[in-house]
Amino acid sequence: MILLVFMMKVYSTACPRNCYSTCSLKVHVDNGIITSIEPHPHNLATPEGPCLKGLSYVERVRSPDRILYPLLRNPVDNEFKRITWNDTFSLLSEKLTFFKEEYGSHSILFYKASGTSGLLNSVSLNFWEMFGGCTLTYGDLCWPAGLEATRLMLGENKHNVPWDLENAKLIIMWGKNAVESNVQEMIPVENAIEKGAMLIVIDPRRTGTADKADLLLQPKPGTDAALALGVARILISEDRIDHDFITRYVLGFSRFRESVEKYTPDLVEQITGIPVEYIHKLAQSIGEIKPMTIIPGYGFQRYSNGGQTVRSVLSLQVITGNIGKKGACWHYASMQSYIFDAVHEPLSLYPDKKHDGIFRRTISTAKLGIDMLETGDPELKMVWVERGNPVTQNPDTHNVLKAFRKLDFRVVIEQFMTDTAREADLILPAKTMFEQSDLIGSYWNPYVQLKQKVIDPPGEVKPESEIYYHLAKKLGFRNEEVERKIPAPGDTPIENWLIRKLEPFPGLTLEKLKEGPLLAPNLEEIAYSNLTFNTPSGKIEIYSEQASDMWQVDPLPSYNEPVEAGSPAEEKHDYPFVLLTPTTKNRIHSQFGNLKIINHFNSNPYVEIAFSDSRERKIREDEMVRIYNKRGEIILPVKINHSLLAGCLVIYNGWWITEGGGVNFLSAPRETDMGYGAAFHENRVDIEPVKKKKDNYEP
Amino acid sequence: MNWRSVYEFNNRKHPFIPVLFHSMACNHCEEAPCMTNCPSKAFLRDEHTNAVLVNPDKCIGCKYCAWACPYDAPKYNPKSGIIEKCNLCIERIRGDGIPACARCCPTGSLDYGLPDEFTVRQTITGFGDYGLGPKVYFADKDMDRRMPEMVVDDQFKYDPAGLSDSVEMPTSRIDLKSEWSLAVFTFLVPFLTGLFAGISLASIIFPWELFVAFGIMAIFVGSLHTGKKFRSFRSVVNFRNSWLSRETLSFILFFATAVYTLISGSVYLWLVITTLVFGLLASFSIDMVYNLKSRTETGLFHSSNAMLSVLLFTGIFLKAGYPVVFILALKLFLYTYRKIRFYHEGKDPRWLLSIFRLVPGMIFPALHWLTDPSVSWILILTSVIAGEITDRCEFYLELEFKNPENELYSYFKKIRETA
Repeated sequence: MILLVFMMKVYSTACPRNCYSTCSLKVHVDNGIITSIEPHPHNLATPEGPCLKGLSYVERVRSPDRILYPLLRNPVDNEFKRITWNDTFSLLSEKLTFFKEEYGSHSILFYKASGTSGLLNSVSLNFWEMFGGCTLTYGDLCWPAGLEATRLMLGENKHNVPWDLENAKLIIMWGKNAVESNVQEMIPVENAIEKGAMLIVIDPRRTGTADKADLLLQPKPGTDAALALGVARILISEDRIDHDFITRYVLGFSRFRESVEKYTPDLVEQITGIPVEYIHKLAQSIGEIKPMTIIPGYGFQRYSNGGQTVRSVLSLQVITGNIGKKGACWHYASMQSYIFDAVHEPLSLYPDKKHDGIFRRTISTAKLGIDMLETGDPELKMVWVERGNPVTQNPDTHNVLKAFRKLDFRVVIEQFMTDTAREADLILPAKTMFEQSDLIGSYWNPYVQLKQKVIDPPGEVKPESEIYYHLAKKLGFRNEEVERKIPAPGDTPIENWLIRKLEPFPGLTLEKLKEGPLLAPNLEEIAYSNLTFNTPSGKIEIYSEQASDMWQVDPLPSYNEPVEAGSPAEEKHDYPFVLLTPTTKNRIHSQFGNLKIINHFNSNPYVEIAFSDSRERKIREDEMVRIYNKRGEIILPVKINHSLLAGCLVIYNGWWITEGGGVNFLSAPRETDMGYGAAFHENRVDIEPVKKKKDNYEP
Repeated sequence: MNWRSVYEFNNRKHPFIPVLFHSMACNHCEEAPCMTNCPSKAFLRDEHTNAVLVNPDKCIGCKYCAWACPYDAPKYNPKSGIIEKCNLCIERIRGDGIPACARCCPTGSLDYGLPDEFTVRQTITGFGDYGLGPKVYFADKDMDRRMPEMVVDDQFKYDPAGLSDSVEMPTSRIDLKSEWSLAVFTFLVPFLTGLFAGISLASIIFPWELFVAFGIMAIFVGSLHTGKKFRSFRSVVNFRNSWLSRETLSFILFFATAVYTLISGSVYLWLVITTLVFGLLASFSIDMVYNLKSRTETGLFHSSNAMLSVLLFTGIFLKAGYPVVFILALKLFLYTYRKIRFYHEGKDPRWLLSIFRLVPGMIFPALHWLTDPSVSWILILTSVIAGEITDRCEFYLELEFKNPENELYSYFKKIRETA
């Protein structure tokens, strides 16, 4: 008898991308097929629902381009051929054993990035630990300089709940373009504007967010610290600071006051390019309008002076007493919903202090390519990549590619044929967020969420935890250790594993989380409202000895001229333009751009140039241009932007090399001044029209 | 097909003017011009929601609704050959939901409900009032104010040209390449009417087979324009409301009676007059078809006006010298006036084409008829035909209907004038 099961079910889940919003979603599933994604009203931070990327999951899950089976490269014709999981595990076990025995387990690099979040990601490290260690990376491409800067000054990273933005009277988006990178944040921001708040945007570009603002300041890239310190000097000299707050809660103010003395408006204008009149305007707004929330982006801390820049901007929040109150907040990142982590980022990203530990963390994420090439004893022979696309996204693509191609064996777990997957010898199909349950937090909204399994993985896709489980068995690890450290395949073991993680939090149960997001336990809706700070002194450390001990920077916030960006000073640089590589709304870095629905609304890669520069260089709209520096080049059509700061070029990051993108051919492998971040937003380039191919004909 | 379009204004971000976005689908107007003007009665109104819907089985893909709608709501799908449009997600509304666009807008900028729920207004920058009763309302926010104070690049202070560079004039969606069949059809209708008058009243010798061939050609070419050619007979059903239906119907009636008269050799004057009335009606309908409220150039009096052309050809075939000269002079005036106006408005008057249209097309035949009647009549006829075809082609080159892009551009022109 054939039983027709026709079921339409609605599940609650959450988007696990590396994105501020971390939207809650309602997923409609009809007979095992996701038919639509709709908003989840229980999440007060994303009440109107996800962006286009969130809606595009309907396509992403069932995309014909998705990798559904293990694929092995045939070395003869370089084509990928489907192989069975049995053969896959045999091959992997053979390779892993060989490299471990021949060169030592550290000849294998395990590289992971932020492609998907969840507690089950930690299973991979359990596997590599049982394996006997491997080489890992330290640092991160995203945000560590800003996190470390905030941690040094405030003690930890947390901020008010997003809907508190409505209470602010002055909002400064400092290098953040929420309209594209965090569109739901614009709901409280617009509500605040409607209630009379002023919005100031500080960005070399006139972004969508800038068009909602009252004032747009366009400093030269990399000079934000000088602007902040110049404003601090005006605030102090005009006595528009909060003396009471400073006396009670701030360490090192008098030294700070002395140190900003040199940032006169004239000097700041010279460094940043912002006229004195506008520096005063900014200072006046900050001094007069309370409460103030500064929302810094993550772009301006990916500079060689990123950490010090963030500390400088944060000092404005501190000396005006805009901490721990409604509408007064430093809105960088909030770890309040990461309740399961013993150690939070950025500390968890730092290299092991002990080099004789199981993992030897000698490879820098920021310098992945050259570090992979230069690491010896043992040399790297194999890489295992998951949740990441380092060929597209890490700085210095030429060296990353060179390093990958030098290896003997490359394993990549992927959903699609990315630039990194193309370099693999063995591709393992990756699950999507709908195919295994997991718990996630968010660095912007204050919820703990269950990313719920709603469908079975298609084809022969296995979640990573299952891959590790089978591989561990195949490699003959101790059975009881495997069972303890890696959840067995199947939904029940996964749920039990998650339930164990939830045990310390009686308010959070899997059953409740299946209904929707839950506020993190012990959430401070207004961060630091008790005005205690987890710094060595217990005060806000505007003067931080830790900063100079750990990072050899000035213990006070300071402006250090960036290595590549900063003043144009053409005589100093061969490459007169600063290249900006921001994110764009319809992609999370290199994700989503391959989907049809996204491509329907997105254009092909292009570079933007300022109007005056286009005239000077005689570059016409849509002309093909070569953008180049000593690290590499990229050829793209050009678009003229009439509000872009002169001297800047803009290419959105995340376009695949196969799409004609690959902006990181131009970026530098360089660490930030603190936090082991990647300072790869700081690149100088030049631009020239592509000359038509000359005839090679010789008589 | 996207039923909802987001129009961006100032995408190159000129520092003196705001960047505006218009997210627009169908506004389900009370006086829906798509519905009134559809020749095949393909539009209907949903009883439950009052949504304006299109019946895919009735649409012939003539795109006339897309011309008539100033909001650009009907979208022609070249794959299916018919019009598609926003249907207000009536199936979601029936299922107790709200339209998908409003449901999924991540910032809640689109909403669905009764307008008295919030403070609203009916027009904003770039959204004109066409008196159609659109069912869209705008939250009364301070939207137009939104452009940041910023330090403007010196280039712009001393370079007013930059302002024109930064906002592109929207390109017309109607061009001669895609609409040549309409130019042929609308030339043939007055020509055939005049020819018929000549044959039956002035005993011009013309083989009826050729007349039939011309007529069939007109019908064939006219139907080329539609996406569903085998369904294009439906274009006559809305003769009560749509001038397009009237145009087709009156031409078919003209052609039928003309062919009957010619083949049967009938000499009844009433039959000839009836035929000519149908012909005149067909030409009048042609003019009315393009007299849509949404057209950017208003007024019937165009030098390629089909009524003038039908009189011109009738005059020529009846060899009535002075009326012909009079009509040519009228056309000359209208043509020259328009070109001079274009010149003043900064549009391209196409001078070279204009000379061709004026000299052999109007001045030569008029002068010769006045001064030297011995010049071959065939030569005069040929030069008039050449001039008329040129004018009709120019008519389609210049034809444009209001749409959100134009509306935003006219806002820019206002800024430029005040700047």
